[in-house]
Amino acid sequence: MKKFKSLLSQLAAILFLVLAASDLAAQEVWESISGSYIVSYSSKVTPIPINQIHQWVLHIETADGEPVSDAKLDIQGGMPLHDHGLPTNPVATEYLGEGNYLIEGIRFHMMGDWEITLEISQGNITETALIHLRI
Amino acid sequence: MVSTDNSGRKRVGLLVLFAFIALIILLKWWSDNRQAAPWTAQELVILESLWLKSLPPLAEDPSNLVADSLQAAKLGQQIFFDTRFSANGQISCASCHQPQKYFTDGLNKALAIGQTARHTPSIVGTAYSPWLYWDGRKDSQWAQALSPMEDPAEHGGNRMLYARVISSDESYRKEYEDIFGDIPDFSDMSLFPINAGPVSNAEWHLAWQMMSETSQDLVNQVFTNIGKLLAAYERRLMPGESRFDAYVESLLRGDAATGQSLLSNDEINGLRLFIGEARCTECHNGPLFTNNEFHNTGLLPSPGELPDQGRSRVVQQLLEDPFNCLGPYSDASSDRCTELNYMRTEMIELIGAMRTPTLRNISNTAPYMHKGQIDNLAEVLEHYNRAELALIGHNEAEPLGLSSTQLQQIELFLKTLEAPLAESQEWGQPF
Repeated sequence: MKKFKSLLSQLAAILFLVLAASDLAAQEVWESISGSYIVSYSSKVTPIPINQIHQWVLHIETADGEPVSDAKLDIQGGMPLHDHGLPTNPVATEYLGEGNYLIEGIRFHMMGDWEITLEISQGNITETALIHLRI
Repeated sequence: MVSTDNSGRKRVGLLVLFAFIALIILLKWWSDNRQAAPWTAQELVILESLWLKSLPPLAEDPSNLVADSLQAAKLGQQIFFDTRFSANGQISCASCHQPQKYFTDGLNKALAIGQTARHTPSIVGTAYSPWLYWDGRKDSQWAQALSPMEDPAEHGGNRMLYARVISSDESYRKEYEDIFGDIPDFSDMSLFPINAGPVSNAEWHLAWQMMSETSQDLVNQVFTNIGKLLAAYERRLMPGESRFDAYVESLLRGDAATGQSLLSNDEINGLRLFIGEARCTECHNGPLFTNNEFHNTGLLPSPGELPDQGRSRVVQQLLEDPFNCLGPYSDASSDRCTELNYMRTEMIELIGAMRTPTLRNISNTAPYMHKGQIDNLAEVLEHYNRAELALIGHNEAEPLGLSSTQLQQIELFLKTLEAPLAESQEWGQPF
């Protein structure tokens, strides 16, 4: 009985983790770690393809909904479960207005769960936001 | 009485043993031969992504204005099979990229004028790859095609010699001028020596250095155009539809019965492992079964050799290459060179990493890996199943723990990817 209970609790934990992971990928906006920024993205090619370099538009606004116009962005990323990074080096090449930034050179080379680490800098202050997505 | 009892017990014991063995054999037979379970919706999405008909139309190559010209492809095909483009008049591109071997040579390392450092990869489908060579040190088919021509172990010649083959052959000259306009006049030997190029042969190298920059540029333009003609030809080498593709097509039509007749249970089980437990589609994905990216999978070097640094060694070289997409011989404006502009340059996982090869016709292109160091598919699968520590860098693969039956099933599945080239009659032979 004890064994059964521990098995059941293990199963529940796994189910929770799976649900949590899928929730993250389904989310549409992400809050930066200290809560100063709200970030969302849209891909110019949908659904996001594998093995095809493409562009994104990143939208950044403050916690109270004001578009952020003067941020410097550093974009990294990878697959946490596979311990490897993005195959390319995407760059924010243009500010499009209204808190929108053009991101060029993004490509995914595997299906699965990806994480984009976005460093948002304004002046001397840098904050990180994590975007989760499933390809 | 006692002895009869004993023999009776022995008989029962034997019967139980036989029944037990029979049960095991039956179970094994059942597990190997039972009707494969239907595919889940998620699995069908993956199968469709591997289907040849899911291959998007080939994007244009902005660095090569003649890439999609039929006339250029036909001239490129002639050059591909012409042994005059070599130092000894005996080597052509087709010496190692043999059409009947799916544009490979069946050797561990290529043998041309000498022996090369790596195994000959297939050309088929490489028009879809942003990077060429095992380490991706070239960023277009045309830039790649130039390199072997001046490699002393391959064609072994020099660009001046090749430019003159085009300008002095009446038929080549006419065709070339139809496509690119007038070819420069190379008849003045004081300006254009017989042999010259930035190659390892000291005499030819010196002759090249003695030429004016203007003369060098004229030769470079013709040399580049030879590469662009070869690329226009190679671009048309595409895989044909295999039994696997017919199987996926029948599944997508909802015709499971036809599907069942196309693939055996073992092949279907192998496919299920391929897209699932064996994790092959992490790298061998998309309709060409490759992500064309670089991975360290812990391969051992050939005996007596140091481990190959792979991608990590060539990134800087690629950025400085005059024949890259951003260079003076490319037809692309710099903003069209997206792969090169956003290339990853520093990454620990590039150490010892090699480009994922296609698996289409993989059973026809032994031996395997960048040095041809693995003789057959069974050993390749064993290699991934073990996933031992890499000698340099980090092995991305992890041990799979698959049984020998499962590995055999994956191998059987891989054979369902055999197929003749698309349009092989037209492009798969000498012009």
